[in-house]
Amino acid sequence: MDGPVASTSKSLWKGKGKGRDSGRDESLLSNSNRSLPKQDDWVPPTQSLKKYVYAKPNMADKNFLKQKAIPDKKLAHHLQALTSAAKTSSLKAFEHDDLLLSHSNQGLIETETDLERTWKVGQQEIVDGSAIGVAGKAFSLKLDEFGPYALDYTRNGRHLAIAGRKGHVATFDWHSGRLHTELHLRETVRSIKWLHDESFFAVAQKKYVYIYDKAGLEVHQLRDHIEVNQMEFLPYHFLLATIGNAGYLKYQDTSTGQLVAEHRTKLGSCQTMAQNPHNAFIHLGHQNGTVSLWSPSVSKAQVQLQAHRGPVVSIALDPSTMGNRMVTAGLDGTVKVWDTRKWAVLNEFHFKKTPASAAFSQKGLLGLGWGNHISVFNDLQKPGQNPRMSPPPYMTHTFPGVPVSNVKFCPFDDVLGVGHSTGITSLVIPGAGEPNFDSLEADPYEGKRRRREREVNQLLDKVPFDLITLDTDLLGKLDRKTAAPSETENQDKPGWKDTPFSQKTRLDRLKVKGEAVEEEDESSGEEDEDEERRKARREERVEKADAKKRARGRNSTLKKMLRKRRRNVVDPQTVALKEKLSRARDATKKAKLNAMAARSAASGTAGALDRFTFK
Amino acid sequence: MKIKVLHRSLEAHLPESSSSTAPVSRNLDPALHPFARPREYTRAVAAAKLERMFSKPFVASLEGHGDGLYSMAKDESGGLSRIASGSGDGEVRVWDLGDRRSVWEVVGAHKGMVKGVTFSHPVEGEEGRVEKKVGGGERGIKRKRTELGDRGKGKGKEEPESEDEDRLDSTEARGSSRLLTCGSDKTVKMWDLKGSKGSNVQPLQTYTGASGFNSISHHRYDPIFATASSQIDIWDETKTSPLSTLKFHSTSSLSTGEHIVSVAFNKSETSVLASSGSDRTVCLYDLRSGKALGRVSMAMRVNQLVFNPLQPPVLLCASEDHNLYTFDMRNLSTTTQVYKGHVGAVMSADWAPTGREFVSGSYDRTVRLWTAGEGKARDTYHTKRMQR
Repeated sequence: MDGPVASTSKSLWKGKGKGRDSGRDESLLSNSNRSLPKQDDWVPPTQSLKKYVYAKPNMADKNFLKQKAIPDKKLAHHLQALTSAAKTSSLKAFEHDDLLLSHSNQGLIETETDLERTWKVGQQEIVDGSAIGVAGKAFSLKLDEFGPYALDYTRNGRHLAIAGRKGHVATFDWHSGRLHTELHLRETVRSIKWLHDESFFAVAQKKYVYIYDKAGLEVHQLRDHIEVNQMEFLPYHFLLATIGNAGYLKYQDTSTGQLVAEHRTKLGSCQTMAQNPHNAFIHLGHQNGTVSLWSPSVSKAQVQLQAHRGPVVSIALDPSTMGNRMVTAGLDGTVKVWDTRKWAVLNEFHFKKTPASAAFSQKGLLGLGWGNHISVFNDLQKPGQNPRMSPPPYMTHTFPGVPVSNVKFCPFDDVLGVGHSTGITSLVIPGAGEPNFDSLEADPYEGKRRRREREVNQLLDKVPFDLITLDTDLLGKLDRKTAAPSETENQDKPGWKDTPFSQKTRLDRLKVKGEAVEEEDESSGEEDEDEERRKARREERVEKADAKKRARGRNSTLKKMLRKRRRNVVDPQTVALKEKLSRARDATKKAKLNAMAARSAASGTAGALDRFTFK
Repeated sequence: MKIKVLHRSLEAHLPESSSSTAPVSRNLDPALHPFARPREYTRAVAAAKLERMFSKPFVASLEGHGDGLYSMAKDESGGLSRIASGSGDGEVRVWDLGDRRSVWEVVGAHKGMVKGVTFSHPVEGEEGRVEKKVGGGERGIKRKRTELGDRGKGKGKEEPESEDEDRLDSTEARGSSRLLTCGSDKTVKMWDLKGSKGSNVQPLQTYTGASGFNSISHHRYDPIFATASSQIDIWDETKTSPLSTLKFHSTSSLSTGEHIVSVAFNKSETSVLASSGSDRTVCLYDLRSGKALGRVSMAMRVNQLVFNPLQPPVLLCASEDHNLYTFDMRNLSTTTQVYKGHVGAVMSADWAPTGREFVSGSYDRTVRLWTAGEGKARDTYHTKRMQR
């Protein structure tokens, strides 16, 4: 290491000035004696790397391949290549995020002494203790006359749309305060939702859903969506999902304009809807306490949970845990934290009041809106908490005398937007937003050109709706059902088709040919008497159920004819039919008695107890 | 209380000047990039569709023949632009693919169908040919035949050619100057491509055989060619009777006519040739020993054989049973690859000059492109104009 370095540095100094002796050179070039700092050999722990493995997460596990020796060398080599590629890419992604992302100005409120409590921190204290720009984040719009407000942020957190129940709709850029449009619709507005960016928004009005563009022009009237209560937009599939009083969940493709699916929930009017951002499933909370999960390609709910004893008031899904956490709030004041993979309740809390609305922030903070205050919870997953005692909130804010209707966290910012009866309020919640955004996904500072390019790229990358599956890894998984069909298929089911001979397993093929060697089983030789009797009885029951056999021997045409004639009319034909029917009944009864008697005579048991024997 | 609120400075996120691009911030956390697999799948499908949409494989049609084309040959020493074609009414044409026009034609080359065409290669300084330097320093020495021995008609052609030497057309500067055609009228004719064209053109040389010829193939360097009829004849261009005859394909009592369907010289291992016959066999010969090297019996007749120009042992067979097979000529016991895709008999095939891909045309009116080693066709081309 020293040799080549020294020679090059000497050559550098060759022609420069006079009287530079080699001794001076040595000291001046003292860095030639120092070796280069060693490369950092630190490898991040597997747990933090696992997060970045976009392929199967268990590929990052070092024991992944050592579990079973794979006899096929080509396959083993291929899997080796895949795991090493997954590891290198996850390492690179980790390094990128570790080095390039700024973690400086973000984080939760930290208490310095034991006596301090974070929920006692008010908005004024936060604004006073922070930079000047933060003051613009905490604002409140006083809009008294137009009813409780619903609000929505765009995906990049830059634009805000608010809608008052009495028909006041406004959209603005809340960073700069620039108003895009303000509409007075003069009819009930129940919900508002931005579409793929700030160019369009959808408003659920009294009867239909209307889509407006940025300037406030009504561009579409969606007459298929009737009396809609809640709306959700799936950004990667360009689908607008709506649910209303009729209980129909309808998906509309906003890029082609096609109504993609409508599903009857059959559970009545629904007021609660949430979207799982990681698998694009729609979670609906119903009045009977069930939560159902829907996708556009399946016409029944894919999952149904009994979440609460009363109606489900609010559902929220956590974007920070890859769609694994769900919080449901019921009218009875319970708030449950669910794991969406196991469908198990992780934690359950009882509150005295009913929460009105729930929302998760990008960093996993849960915001709940109550009657006159909101509370933000930090860590609801702590096991072992006493369910009777409600957990301490991270922050609270009170709205004296004003019921809260809607809470939403702003993406990529430490802001919680609250819609209430007298307008909207924007609160600063430190640690709520993701500090580093990805420009290729959502950029609060995108200019006109980038917005246009992003829109076109999003449309080109629009995922077809039938790829929405509960298991996000399904695409690319081996289809085991067709690879190895189940042996427990029911042959008697109608429509059963035998697998063709060439696709059968070897054993089945031999069986068909008649060359399968049956293993000698000793127990199969002897058959129990009870077993025999039970078998015979089963067969009898099947025969009885057989419709054809049922018709034989019992003259049901007589009964049919009698039924068809009016019962209160007595005419000679009816009388004759009735007589015929009673004669037929007597005859069957006699035959039964005779049969029983014959059997009892044959078996030798007492005659009186014959009626208690099995037939 | 330590309170840190997230706030961003505009300088870090807006472009530095009005003309520079806006800065891009990335966060590779998978929570910010959901639907990785479906998006990747969608992009792959869209890319494949766009590639198909933008590929327009049909380039041009060369028109001039009056009847269907039944034989075609490419000029291996003529750059990549010269091909010759023979049609059912006996017309032979030579085309330049760059200009997409016919540069030479003769009507009535044969009575009946022209069954095979092949270019005779100009030889570069090999012994066995008498050279006559006729002008042209930079372009190299033009080879000429002196003794054609064909009733003196050929000699008359030489003088006008020497006059035209300096005014050679640029399109005719490279490439073989002679063409061999064979037909079912039991003759093989050699034509001069620098000479006159049209009707009433006399060939440089005519070779007569015992029965109609099915196929013709020229040696890569030497002035030798092979024809297939009811036996394989090896001819020297200077002699009117064949040098040798190879009769290794068996004849059955049921077969009538010429039963050897195709013959092909190996262009890299140059003294090896292969032939296929109606007895469903493929035979391999070596000229140096004059004996058959091996023989394979197939399920159905092989309609055409082609050797890989860059890999000497690889032989491609286009078979009647809708498949193509490659053999290693050193080991004829097994095929090295089966190519399945056509739904009709494969009538002809040819290798790309790279030796890595080949094209096949079949009775099902499609042309398929294959990569050597992959058993499924890469592409299928068909038009309504291409019929049986």
